[in-house]
Amino acid sequence: MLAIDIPIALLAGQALAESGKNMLKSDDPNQHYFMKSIVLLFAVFFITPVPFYFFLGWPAWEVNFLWRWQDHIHDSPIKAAVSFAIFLFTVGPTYIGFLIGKYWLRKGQDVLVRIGYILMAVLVGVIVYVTRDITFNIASTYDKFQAEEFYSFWSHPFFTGWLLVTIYFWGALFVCYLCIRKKDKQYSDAV
Amino acid sequence: MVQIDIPAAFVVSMLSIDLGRKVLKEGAEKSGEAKPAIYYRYLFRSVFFAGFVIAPAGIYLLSGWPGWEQIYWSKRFEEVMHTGWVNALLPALFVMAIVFAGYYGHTLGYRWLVSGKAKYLRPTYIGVLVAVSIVVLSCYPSFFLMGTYDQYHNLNDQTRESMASVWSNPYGFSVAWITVMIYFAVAMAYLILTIRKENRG
Repeated sequence: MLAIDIPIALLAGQALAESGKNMLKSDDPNQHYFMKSIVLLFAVFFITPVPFYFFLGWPAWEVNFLWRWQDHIHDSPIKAAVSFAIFLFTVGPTYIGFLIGKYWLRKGQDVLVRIGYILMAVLVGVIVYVTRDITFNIASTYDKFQAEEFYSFWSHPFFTGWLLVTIYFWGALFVCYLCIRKKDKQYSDAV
Repeated sequence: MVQIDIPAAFVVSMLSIDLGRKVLKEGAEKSGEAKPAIYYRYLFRSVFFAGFVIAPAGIYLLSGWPGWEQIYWSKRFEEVMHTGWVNALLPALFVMAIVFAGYYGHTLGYRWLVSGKAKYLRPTYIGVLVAVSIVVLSCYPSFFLMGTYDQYHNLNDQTRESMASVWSNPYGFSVAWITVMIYFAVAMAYLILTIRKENRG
């Protein structure tokens, strides 16, 4: 959902920065370029496809049933252009999260990075709780939502797809975090 | 077009390696590391180009004109909304394929460059371009027609004759396509000029 995509992207950027903290604290340009490239690669490969899955599959739900226009993006140059914005909404916050994390790490305030991404996780939980009526009641279009023609979040095929992309994203974040941390440890042992 | 966008990401990454071969070789020799800073700098650029130029342009056309964007190969692209979880995966897979192609073009190109196989670079990306052109041209006249899968394939009482010509700006398509092409061309020119400048200096 649009409301949680940005905090999740910020969380991912900060978590990835923390996983490579020794590399980022060093002045070695090689390590900095490595981290920058990995964060960008992660953002475009593991984050961006997720909102696209929901935006094109269940557009009204993805935009929190705020508008009607997303239900009619075919054959509309202006409405379809929102696809460009989705790239900015996912890659932008991930990279900003990474830069904030890097800044704090280089200032020696490692704990702030952890607090930062834990706060983002709490924020996501709060948003989901506050918007639970629209999160767990799925309607195919804005008009159907207004007419209260819902089906459950837990029903197939919505939940199946949601589970798949959720595992894809969080699994990738977890694996990337561990891999970067391992490389970071090797780097810090070698220096 | 889906058939062009994915190979295009691969070609652009390889072209970057080819144009930057002087700087990349020097960086590799100086550093002595398997993947020096210059490797990651070029990787960043290739992934950025795939993720911020090719993928948004492709997904824009796929969102607005799904039939044309894949030259009417599959109806699934037109039935993405509320039709189950499989079809909805297609746009996501499309983005991933573009980014992966960009990444793979970079890693393969770099590996060839530093292992003395740089002579394969140019024939590979030119070969990919030729192959893509043959595939797309063999689908004539799909790329000149705007409509749906059913119309193009004369299915369900729909006919190809009822499709509009892309030159008549149907549903704002032509203007959108030209805008996307300008975006791509400017980004491509900037990428080439930046790399060439680096390699001259």
